[in-house]
Amino acid sequence: MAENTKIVAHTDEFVHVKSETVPAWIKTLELLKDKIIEKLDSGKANEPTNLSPHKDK
Amino acid sequence: MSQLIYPLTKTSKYTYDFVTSKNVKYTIYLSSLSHLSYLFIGEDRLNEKDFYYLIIDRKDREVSPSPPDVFIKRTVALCLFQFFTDNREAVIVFNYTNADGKINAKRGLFKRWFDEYSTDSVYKFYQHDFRDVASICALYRRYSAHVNFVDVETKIQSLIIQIATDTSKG
Repeated sequence: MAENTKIVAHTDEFVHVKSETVPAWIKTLELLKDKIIEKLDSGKANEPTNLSPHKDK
Repeated sequence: MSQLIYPLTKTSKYTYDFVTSKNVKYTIYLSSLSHLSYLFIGEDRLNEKDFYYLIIDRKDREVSPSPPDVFIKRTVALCLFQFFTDNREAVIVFNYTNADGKINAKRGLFKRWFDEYSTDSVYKFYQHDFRDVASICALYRRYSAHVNFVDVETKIQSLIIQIATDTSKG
């Protein structure tokens, strides 16, 4: 588990983890979600897209 | 006669639309992450087709969601129940940020939704909060005890980094 990360709750049904640090990649999430919605709305849901350059691996 | 959920329109395999009584359109997307399969090679029982990315998109963000509309959570819950019926080994991943300044309300809301439907449930809810900036969540069946939450977290992180890299490439 990453540094500055702690488990707040851990039961059979719920695991809750908190981090005091915020990795840089996390800040792009909302932008990414909008882009994914754009792609899905364009009717390409469940199809490989150029989001996946590794699809042939 | 009162209704329990909003009528759903299935627009693709795992994409559903519904319209609330305030005429707000919601779309629920469950998109397979199978195109990122290389991330999951070697996982015990989990494979790439088990990971799905969930987006609950409210099309009209100007309309106030209050007072709370219980039909929305029932409708979303029905979609997820149906999804897990078809995909018993699935791990549903979703995230949200504090872009609208309401992250604590969202954290409370999703946990309450889960608690309400988790009595004697077979599901497990994983939530990772990054200060007041963002949260990443996963929902999967409890009997998949082999699904270690740290592994799930690592996979989610890998996915997000990969998607971010790919998107920046256009």
